[in-house]
Amino acid sequence: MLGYESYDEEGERDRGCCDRRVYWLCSGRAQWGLLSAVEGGERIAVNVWEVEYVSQQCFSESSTRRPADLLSSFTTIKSVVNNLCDGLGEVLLSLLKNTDTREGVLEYLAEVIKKNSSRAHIQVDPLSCASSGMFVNLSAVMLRLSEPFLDANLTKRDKIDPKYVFCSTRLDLRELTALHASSEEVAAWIIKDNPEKTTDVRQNIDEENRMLQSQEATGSGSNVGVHSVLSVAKPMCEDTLSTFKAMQGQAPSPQLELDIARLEKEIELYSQEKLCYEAQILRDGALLQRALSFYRLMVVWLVGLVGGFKMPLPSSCPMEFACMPEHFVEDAMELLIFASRIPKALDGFMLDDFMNFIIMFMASPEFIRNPYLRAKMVEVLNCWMPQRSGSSVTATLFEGHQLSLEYLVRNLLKLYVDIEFTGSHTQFYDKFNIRHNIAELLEYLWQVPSHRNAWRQIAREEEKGVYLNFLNFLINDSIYLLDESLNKILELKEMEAEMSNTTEWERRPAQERQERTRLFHSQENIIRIDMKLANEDVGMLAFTSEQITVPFLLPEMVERVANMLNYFLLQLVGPQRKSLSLKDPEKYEFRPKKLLKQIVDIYVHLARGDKENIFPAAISKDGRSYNEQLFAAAADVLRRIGEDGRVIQEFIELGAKAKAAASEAMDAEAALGEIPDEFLDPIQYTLMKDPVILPSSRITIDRPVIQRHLLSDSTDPFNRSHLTQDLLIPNVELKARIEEFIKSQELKKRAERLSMQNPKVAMQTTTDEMTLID
Amino acid sequence: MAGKRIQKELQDLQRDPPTSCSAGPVGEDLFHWQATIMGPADSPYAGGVFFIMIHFPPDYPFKPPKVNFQTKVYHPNINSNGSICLDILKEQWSPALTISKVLLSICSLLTDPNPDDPLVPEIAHLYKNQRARYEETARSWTQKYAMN
Repeated sequence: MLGYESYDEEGERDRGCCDRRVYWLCSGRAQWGLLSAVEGGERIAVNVWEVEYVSQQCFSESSTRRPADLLSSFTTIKSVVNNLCDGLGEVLLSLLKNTDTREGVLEYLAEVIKKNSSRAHIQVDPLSCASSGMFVNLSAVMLRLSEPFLDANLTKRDKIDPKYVFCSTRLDLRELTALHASSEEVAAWIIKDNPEKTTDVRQNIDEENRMLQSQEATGSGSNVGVHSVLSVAKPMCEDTLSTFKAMQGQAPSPQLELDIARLEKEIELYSQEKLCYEAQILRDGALLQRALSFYRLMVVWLVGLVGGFKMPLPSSCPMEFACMPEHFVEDAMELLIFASRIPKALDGFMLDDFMNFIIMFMASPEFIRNPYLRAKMVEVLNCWMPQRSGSSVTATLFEGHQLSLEYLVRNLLKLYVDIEFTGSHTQFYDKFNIRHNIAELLEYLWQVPSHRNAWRQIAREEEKGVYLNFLNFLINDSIYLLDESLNKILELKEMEAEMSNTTEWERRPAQERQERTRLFHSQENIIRIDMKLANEDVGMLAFTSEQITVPFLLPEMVERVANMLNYFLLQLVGPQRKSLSLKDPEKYEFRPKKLLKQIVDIYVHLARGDKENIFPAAISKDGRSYNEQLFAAAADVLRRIGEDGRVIQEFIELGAKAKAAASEAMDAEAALGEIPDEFLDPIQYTLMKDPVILPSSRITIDRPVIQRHLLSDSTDPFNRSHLTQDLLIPNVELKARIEEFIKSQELKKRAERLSMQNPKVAMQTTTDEMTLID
Repeated sequence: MAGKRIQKELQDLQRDPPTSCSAGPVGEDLFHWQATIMGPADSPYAGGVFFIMIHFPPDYPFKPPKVNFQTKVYHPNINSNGSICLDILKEQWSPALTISKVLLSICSLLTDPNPDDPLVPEIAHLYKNQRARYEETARSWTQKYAMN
């Protein structure tokens, strides 16, 4: 399978290279045992080539073959490969049992792994690595060898010594990224407890297997990667092909025909390969089951290092766990994701341990540092959602487990927050994908009563903690995504107009037209993605606000929530709404009616929960989008599209309250007159109510303003030094002066008003004064 | 709320405009601005006038403004859509920054591109390895798109 990406010529070269490697190993050490092992290696290699040969034999012109034909090919290949692996397994086992040959065999295996370590990279260089086929077979053999450890209760897992992972001289796993420890910490930990070599042969072997295993599982992981690339590549190719064919219709040229022929040949090759992979991995249920068992052992064993399946986790992460290579977990997750995509592959397999492992660690950066690895765990859960997996088994995982009921929602919310800062320079965009996975899960869990109760409880307990952070980021994302996609729609319409003006458009240089068209299509895609995510976020705000309103109405939240709602109301029913009309809005997942309903629902939900009557003032305080007429306009639209009359009524009442609050606020502001600069907040330029001093920059700022900033970013905005709420220093003196100022201005205004109401008195006084002056 | 802040920024800009930049609302809309930047004298953009669109998102100034070039620019950190790769417009934004400071940062980005975090890798490559060719193209684009 080595040379698949390349054509025959390279294929030949590859083959030579692989053979050379086998010979090189042969010439390594002329021990009998090793030679036999090499023989095994060669058989693996031979097997690989057999499969390639098979691909032409069994799968040529696959598109025209009958399904039954293909099926019989699959069965044949499977049984041949299985026999081979069984045989190889036996050979290896007897070599390992024999003390004379053990060391040589282990060294050979270690060497294979070392030489192929670059297979774990995203891009695998086929010239410098052994083939995927070889590694699939090696995995299969290794899995057979670890079988004694894979009994249903994993009774022998205590025999696996975590230190062994590092004290082997054959494979150096110290340089690999660890789950939590830095490489220095790993080194220190190893030196501290002088490694005692274990003499238990079986353990030795198994441990070695285990290491090899994870390593070659990475191999099979990348193999899997190749597979998915291929499945993508095929439709892509077909896409190109159809484009070419379409073009051919317009202007036939010999060059194009050549291209088509070439592409057709490529597709044929791709599908041959695809079928080979299918035969080797997808159709081999036993291989997958063994691999799953192996990784079950892996996670159960890892959990053993932190004291077993229980929450909460220990207060500090044990070094044994912290030092384990990260890819142990990553490979397990990759395998689960991969297996979830194959129909029925997970049937009958106990996933509970994986589920619990994921729940325990996905929101624990103190145990697994890499946020992307924890995000991958969510991807696994996402594959298991009942509506996706189509299996009731996975529903039980979510709905029938104590750990899940107690911690799943909590940890998903926590990860949603943590993922804001991954430390990668792509964090700004990465978070959207990860949160999309989390949001889908959360939406599902909201429908499950017991999870919904847990959710409501967290919202109560963490009102000022992680729940507030979650809500803050949800609102940040909603604003960003919806604003971005609505703006892009305007740009898109401009471009559309540009392109539809044919004479003008045709006059432009071809290159420019091409560039504009490309830009147009990329904008279309961006809008679609952003809109999809925005719909999801607004949806989540709508359904959660029906039952959880308190955090929305906190002083640091309520105004921004109101601003957001007003802004979107303005976009959807304001004067410029016509500019958002599209010929085919569904194409961009733009559903203005549904969006408007959801926005109004959020308004009404919050009004219902607003016991202290602060929401109307927050709505009208927004100096940007608030406009009393929007409420009437939205109500009109809602009536037309058949919204619940009660909701419309409540919405109109809220609008009236906001209007009253607006005129009150206007009076109050007018009363203040000119405000001295030192009373103004340096960020918002509004009169401060509760001024606080920032400890490092010494700048005075209004408390709700800095609190709002700290929800998204724990730094002082003026010098970026670390800052948290508890470090704020109240500026008591300034607060007193501001209060004094407000009081005196009010008094002054009241006096003025009084004098206006009693013009006679005023007049009298003036006359009196005049008389006096006179 | 954001209205007051933006109004204040506008006042400050008009009272004390930064050298070689100007900015203000497009028409009646206080939340959509257009800005102009004069190409810095010590750069291949010298002599050009570059137009920039600024959109204030509803959570400004807690979130960065959205800033795009309208004039085509040949630059490692500015792509053909006019998007700008500038840290203070993404994760390094701070509510204490202002439009005026953003425009000044863009000016210095024109003088000193950041080829290690490029938006257009080909231009970054040219900038690193064949500086003269990069300057030549940037100058000719400036002439073609940013003068009159």
